[in-house]
Amino acid sequence: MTLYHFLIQATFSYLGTFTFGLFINLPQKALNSSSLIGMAGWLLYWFIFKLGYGSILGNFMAALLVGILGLFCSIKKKMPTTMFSSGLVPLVPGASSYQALSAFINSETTTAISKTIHVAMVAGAIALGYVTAQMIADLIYKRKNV
Amino acid sequence: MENKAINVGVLAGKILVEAGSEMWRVEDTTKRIVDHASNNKTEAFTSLTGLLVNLKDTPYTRFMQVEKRGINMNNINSVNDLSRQYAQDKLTLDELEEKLLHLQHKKPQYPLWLQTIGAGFEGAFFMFTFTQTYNWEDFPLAFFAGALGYLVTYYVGSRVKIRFMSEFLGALTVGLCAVIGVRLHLGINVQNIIIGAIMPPLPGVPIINSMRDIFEGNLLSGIERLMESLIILSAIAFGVGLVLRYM
Repeated sequence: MTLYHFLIQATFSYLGTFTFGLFINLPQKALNSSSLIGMAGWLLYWFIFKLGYGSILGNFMAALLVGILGLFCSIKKKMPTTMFSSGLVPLVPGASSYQALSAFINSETTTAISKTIHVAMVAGAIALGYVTAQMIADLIYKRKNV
Repeated sequence: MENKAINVGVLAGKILVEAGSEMWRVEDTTKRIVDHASNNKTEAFTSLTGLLVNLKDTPYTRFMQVEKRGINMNNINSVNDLSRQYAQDKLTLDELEEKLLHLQHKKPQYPLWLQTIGAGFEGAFFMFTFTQTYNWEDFPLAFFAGALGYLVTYYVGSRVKIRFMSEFLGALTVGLCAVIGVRLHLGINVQNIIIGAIMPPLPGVPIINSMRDIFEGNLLSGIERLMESLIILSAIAFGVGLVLRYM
């Protein structure tokens, strides 16, 4: 884990979320902040993963961070929270899904099933983290139209 | 007045569903518009394929069918703004209807070439973060495969009525680009290129929205959306798998 790797991870997760915003028609006001949120979430996941706590905890904490930052931005900019959910895009378990698929193709069924279950658990962790952020916000504020 | 308000409310809800909003926002916006105009209690039933709005103790009921669904964050934001302005009496009902009708036929704010370049770069950037590899040689091929895959998905999706075919053909294009490009020595690692370039057609936002729908109690639309996303995922897996198996 060198500075070079850190810089690449940070800039590329920012730019990847930014370009994702282009083809889901994100309003221009939200592009920069949602990309920053995506970068923050990905870096938190990356640190937790590199420290050896596994990808489930990493994804949960990162999705929680993305949800909380998205709520702050939506209150500050007076926009719906959905605008900032694109910050979850860097967390998509792309590599594990590919490994599961290629294991299925090579008829290594045991590996394939365990990989698929891993992908499902990661997806569940992301969803739970994001919803937990909403729950915390509901406990603090009465939800109006954010 | 009530009759008109219920029309406008259903129209706002329809635009929201077409733009891929969460269900509670659709219900909330529709109810806010109709309540403001009528002082009556509104009842709304919303699903991904149609909206039903009813005013209690009156004969007014409207149903509107939703035929196409995509993701358009800008429309969600605009409808949200407009409905709030209406609730604060900054807009009249006629102005609101006019603006909503205008919104419904507006083109996306970013042109297709920009979206395509965005899709290509998304694939190339996420190839680096997902695979934790730093092969700059694969960057151009991942960009090309991602952009072409997105274009194929977009064109097939706008011309062909059969659902899920566009994602399948897009994934097939991405796989073919990656494999043929590597055979021509334009890239090194087929696996990394496919992992990156397959990102644009993946249904990330619908899956998150389906989870939120389910957790918030909108079981019907949550399950509809989850099922739709899972079928899209299977179509993509089938497209990539076909290339990996036989090429």
